Amino acid sequence: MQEIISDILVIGGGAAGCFAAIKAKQSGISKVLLVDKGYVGKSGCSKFAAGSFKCFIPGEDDFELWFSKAVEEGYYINDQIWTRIHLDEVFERAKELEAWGLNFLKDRNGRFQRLEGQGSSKQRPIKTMMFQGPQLMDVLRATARKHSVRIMDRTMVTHLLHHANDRDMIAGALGFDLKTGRQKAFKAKAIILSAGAQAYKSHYAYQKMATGDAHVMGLRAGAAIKNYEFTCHHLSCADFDTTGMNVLQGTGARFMNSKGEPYMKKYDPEYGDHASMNRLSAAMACEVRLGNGPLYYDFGAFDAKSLDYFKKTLPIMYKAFERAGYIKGGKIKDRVQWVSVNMGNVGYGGGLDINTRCETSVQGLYAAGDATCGPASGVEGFSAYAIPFATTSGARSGLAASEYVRGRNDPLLDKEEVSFCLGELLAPLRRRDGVEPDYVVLKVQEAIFPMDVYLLRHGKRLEQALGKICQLRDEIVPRIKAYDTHYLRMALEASNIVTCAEMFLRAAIARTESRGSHLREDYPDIDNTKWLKWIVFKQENGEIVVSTEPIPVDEYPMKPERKIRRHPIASVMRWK
Amino acid sequence: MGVSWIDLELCNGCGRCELICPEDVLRLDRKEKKAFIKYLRDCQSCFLCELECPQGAIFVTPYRERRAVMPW
Repeated sequence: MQEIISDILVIGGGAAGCFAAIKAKQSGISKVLLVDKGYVGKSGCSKFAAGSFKCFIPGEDDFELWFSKAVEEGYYINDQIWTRIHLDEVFERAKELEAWGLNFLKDRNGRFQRLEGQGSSKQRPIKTMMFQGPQLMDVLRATARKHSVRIMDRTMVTHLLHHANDRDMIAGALGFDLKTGRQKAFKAKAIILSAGAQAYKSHYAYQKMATGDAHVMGLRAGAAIKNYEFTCHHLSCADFDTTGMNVLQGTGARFMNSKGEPYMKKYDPEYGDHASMNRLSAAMACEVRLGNGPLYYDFGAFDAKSLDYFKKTLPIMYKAFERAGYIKGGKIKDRVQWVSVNMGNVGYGGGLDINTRCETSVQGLYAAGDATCGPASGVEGFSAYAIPFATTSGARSGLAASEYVRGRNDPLLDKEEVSFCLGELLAPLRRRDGVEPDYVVLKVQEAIFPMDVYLLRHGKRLEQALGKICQLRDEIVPRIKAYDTHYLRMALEASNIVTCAEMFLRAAIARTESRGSHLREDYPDIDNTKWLKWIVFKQENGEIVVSTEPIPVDEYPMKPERKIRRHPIASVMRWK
Repeated sequence: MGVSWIDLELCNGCGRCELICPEDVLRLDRKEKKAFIKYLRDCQSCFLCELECPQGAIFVTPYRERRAVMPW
């Protein structure tokens, strides 16, 4: 087994990981290693960022409007200190990106061209900066290399390792080369988890690599996980996976039901077609339940200018539309069938609990970007927020880890732990016979993807789904078989998908109220008397243990009324 | 579906597609110096290989080989 020593090991090379590694190098740390299971610059959700960068610009925007909107959409689940820090620092990160070579769209006067997309209304305009999507990660790889960050591509990290003399301190990690299968032991004084969130390989574009690797590794190493009941409900073309909702909403596409009626104003009078993802998805499910499905996205208002904007900011999706025949001869098809997608906690939703220094509850272990519980955003992502948060939290984690490692000795690994974890890592390859990883993924999707489970939730249905997941966990996961190292990756990803589905369902069952994307038919009220709490998971003796933690809203600038009120969707649907 | 074909006349065996594919779908036959589709089921139709191929030898469709479970 190859042994690799670094001061700081960054696991996951998307926007958060690159920012972390670059900041660590800028702080003068000599050995910074960035590892990714893909190829840094072409891997992770950041590669497919849909060109939107929601950035507060000092001097141009109203801070109080942005802050209050973030907390309102966060349904008071935010760590408001984090929200403030994020808004304070995000423009600095945008300027850095621009200095490193990222092209933001600008008008003739050199001012940022900003789109009023998702979450923007006449009364409360929130504008998004736009960039050429795929360029972001190319710029970040080049910048990381310029800063002499050591990059190790095609290496999947599967386990975190503790210090031989201190079980509460992180000392390294274990992984393997995806091509050769060679096993690698990493020794590091600090580790930053920036390997994204969990998307359950859903019908949303280009997120199949987001399989909760960081969440599960962190959980098993003793770190706390938070907010897992809140999932990101995104929208996609029904025929194939797409992305880019912020751009499409901002350029005039409208939601229609099968009767040709626009329906969004009914569910969200202020924002209508510009509504946030959880409101759009819940409205879709309600329309389907009312017998008004299938549902469509209407591009009737698109002109040549909108199409040009689409092409510039979402070149990959534009290509997919062309290839499917939806864009022909400079014209876009009038109506395309559209669906809601549970994309787990990519973009926003649950993940590793961090403080404002990006420290997890394990010493020496940090997290950034989608791997975290999204403390700045709370329930809803404040749309087009994932990449901006990846930059602010990435930078913060890199700086904090740099401070931590200074003056520390090289860590000592626990040989017994290494050999135990290695056995676990290789188990799917060693099985003679077994179940294919794909089967496990399909079974998880069948349990949690129906709209009656993840969108319109009910205790009974959540319990049923949890029963299916626990059965998979106990009977099928120990039998997953990998034919080669490619399948070993898929096997480990499938196992992580099961663990995350269990956390999602347990958290959704525990929260006996409705709040944002967590919409329960059996508890249709937002209960600010009982539920201003975070749901936290920890692993103890191999079992996932749930607890709650009060949100210190009294110490925050925005304090909700301690009242019970109906969830807006429940009001429209007149649930009792 | 997914990545549909690689034009072997055009492929110059540079290995770019193998290097960048986020889902490890494509591999290079080092003897023949040609790329090939090895793990089609895992293709996510992200078009990266097609966009990055210097020879224009790869053709991707948006329809994935494996469809995820839908909400309704």
